Amino acid sequence: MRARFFCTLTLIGCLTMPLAAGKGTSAGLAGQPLKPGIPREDFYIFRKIPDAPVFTLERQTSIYRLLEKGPLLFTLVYTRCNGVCYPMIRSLRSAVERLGGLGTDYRILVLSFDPRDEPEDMAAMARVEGLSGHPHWIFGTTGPENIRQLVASVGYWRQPDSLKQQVNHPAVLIGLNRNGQIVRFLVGASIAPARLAEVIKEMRGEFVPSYPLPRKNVIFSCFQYQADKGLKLNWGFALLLMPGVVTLGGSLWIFHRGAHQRRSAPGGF
Amino acid sequence: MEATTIQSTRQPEPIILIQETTLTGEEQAQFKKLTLVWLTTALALFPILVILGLLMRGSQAAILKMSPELFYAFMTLHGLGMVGIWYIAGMAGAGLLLSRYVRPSLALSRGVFWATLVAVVLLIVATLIGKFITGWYFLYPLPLYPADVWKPWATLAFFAFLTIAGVAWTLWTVDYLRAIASRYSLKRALAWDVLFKKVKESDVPPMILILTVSLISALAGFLAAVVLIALFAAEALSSGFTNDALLMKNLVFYFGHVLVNITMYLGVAMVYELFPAFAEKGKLTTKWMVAAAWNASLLLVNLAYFHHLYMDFVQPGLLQKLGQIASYLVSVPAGVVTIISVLSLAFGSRMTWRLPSLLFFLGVMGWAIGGMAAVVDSTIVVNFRFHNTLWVPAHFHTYYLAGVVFMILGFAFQYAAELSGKAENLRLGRWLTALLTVGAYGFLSMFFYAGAHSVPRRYAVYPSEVHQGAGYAQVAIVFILLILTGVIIYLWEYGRRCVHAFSAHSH
Ligand code: HEM
Ligand SMILES: [Cu+2]
Repeated sequence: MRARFFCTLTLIGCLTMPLAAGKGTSAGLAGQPLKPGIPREDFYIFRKIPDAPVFTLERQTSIYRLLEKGPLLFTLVYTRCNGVCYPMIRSLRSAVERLGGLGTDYRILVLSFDPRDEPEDMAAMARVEGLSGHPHWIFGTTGPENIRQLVASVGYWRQPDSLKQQVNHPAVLIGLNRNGQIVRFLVGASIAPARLAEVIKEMRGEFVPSYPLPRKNVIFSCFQYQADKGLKLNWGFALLLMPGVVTLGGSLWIFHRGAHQRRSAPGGF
Repeated sequence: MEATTIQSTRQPEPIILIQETTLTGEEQAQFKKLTLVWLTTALALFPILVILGLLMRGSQAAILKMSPELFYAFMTLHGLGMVGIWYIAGMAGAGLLLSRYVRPSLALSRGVFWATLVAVVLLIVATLIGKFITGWYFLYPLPLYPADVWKPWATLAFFAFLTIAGVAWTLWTVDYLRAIASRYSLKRALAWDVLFKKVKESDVPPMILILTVSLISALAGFLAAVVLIALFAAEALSSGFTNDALLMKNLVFYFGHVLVNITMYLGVAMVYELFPAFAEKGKLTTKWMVAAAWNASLLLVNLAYFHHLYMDFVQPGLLQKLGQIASYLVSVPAGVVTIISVLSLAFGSRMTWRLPSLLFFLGVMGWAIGGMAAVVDSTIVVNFRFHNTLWVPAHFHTYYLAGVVFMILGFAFQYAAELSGKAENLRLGRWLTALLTVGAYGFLSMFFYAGAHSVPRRYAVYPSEVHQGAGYAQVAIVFILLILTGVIIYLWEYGRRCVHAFSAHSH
């Protein structure tokens, strides 16, 4: 199911934006080594995210200091977004309100990945979302170098779109346990309370089984199953037969070569 | 049996080092030395790996406290290390016996030795220092997701170990096949003249037949590993290429199952070649039953591995059934034929039971007992209960520890005895055999009991649901200490003979 979300979501093609404001966009966010794609939870799971200062309108703190009080639900946004960022926060807010536990089990950290955002911009975003001054929703900014480190540590990507004056980026909610380790990615703009409940459980240290769906890009699988056609052999099966076939050929060749020696050797057979 | 009351020591008779050889005097001296080096290397590593087993059982018994990472580092090193040392010891022993009939390459064996040493160092570094701790089977996709438990360099070191050992041992295998091919045609090596023509028995020794079957199968197993490593590398190095988990699991068990079986066959091949001499019966010939059983094994050993995938529901049912049928067919003929041969040799003679012959005999029995336990577990309905319980380590430790390890210990002892000419103390030999046997079966029965009572394998510490596991582990520790004592006495006796052989040479 997650996979399907992504497809719709990676497109986070945010809409156009006033030309003037976008001038610095591509420069500020240039130099991204990460390729656009579905954020791969399995690559980053249990890695610890780096510490970074967090600036809000009211105070200055840091991610690790926030973690001392308990697990964090963490996400990256930018305030000029015309696309996924605002709807995602709204969806998160309604899921959180249905589930409860905010402030006791966990808190939420929304950081800007755009160096041009100031704490005031983030406070404005909180206001738009109806979360102004909420004690357990932290809307903040961090330094440009910290943004780079954070983005790399979770495999996040940003792709400036100069035409639309927007930045394409995925919508990911990241569960951090109290050690700052990544326990779950939740990808998509609309957040289902059931899925969020799993992330929260996992952040508290409860085990929630999950497994990855078969991915695209699998070239060699043994079989393919199609509901209408049943089981079909696939190329991977050839790889499974290869050792046997090559061994057969190789052995015949070795003994064929040996035949010359057998004939020439005195006392051969 | 009366012989013991009259005589308590026995001069070693020439059983391994007989006149028959294809080598010249100088070559033979070199070959003998290299074989001793191979055997000694394996034997020196053995007690260390046993101690890792002891520590693991200590953790499971809730006597020792260790981090799970350390437990799994021990487990990975222990599993791969044990299979590795007995494979090389088996190959080295088989190579020496092979040189009676054909000429394996001395230079190649030397090269393989150095490559193996490098591989061993890499494995130790990857597991103990790098904490690459996936278990022996490095099941996909675990090696690619270290989750900060180990660093990328440890993955690299581990795959370097696999590649170096794999390439070296493949070359070694191919060289033995080449040597056999330079004297026998494939049909003769596989005893097809006995199998399909009216020839009563072949003058091709059973050892040649068993080794040909084993080496060809080993080649297939190693090639499966090549494909596996290539697919892992492709996923690690490319962006986007993803592997099919089912294919990867099939490949790793193809490789693992074959390698473990072949190691046993190497021991069995030695028994076929040497046991008749212990029983003072000359040599065995290849009869129809033997030819049929081992030819069947050649095909079936490549198919039996499906029994490792019974719980993978996506594997088609046909392959699952094939797994059960092949598992039955592969173990029964070869096992039964071998046991009947050995029993008839042993009971039809008035041989003096000495340490090597006792260990050979018990080794074949251990192979049979472990084999039966394997057949039980390879039955699909039983596997629903036994899958990944301690029954699995129980059965493979039986045919390994009480099987092929006994055979190779017997071989190495006899070899060192012949080289040194030192007399054997028969009473000590019997005590030692008793110590090893009681220790081994005590230790094994705790695995079996635990498995039958649903204690899962590969737990560093047993959770409350299976707390009974700790009790079995505590009992096992006593027996492991017996084995360890036996191994140390054995190594003392073996080492004395090696030292004697060399000082005798240098004078
Ligand atoms: C006295 C000798 C030995 C002791 C005390 C010992 C002990 C152990 C223990 C405690 C385990 C972990 C079982 C579990 O909970 O899953 C284990 C696993 C294993 N042992 Fe041994 N063992 C011994 C000899 C051998 C021998 C001779 C071999 C093979 C030649 C061997 C090969 C293995 C393998 C392949 C594994 C599985 C590793 C894995 O699951 O990845 N062991 N052994
Ligand atoms: Cu956006």
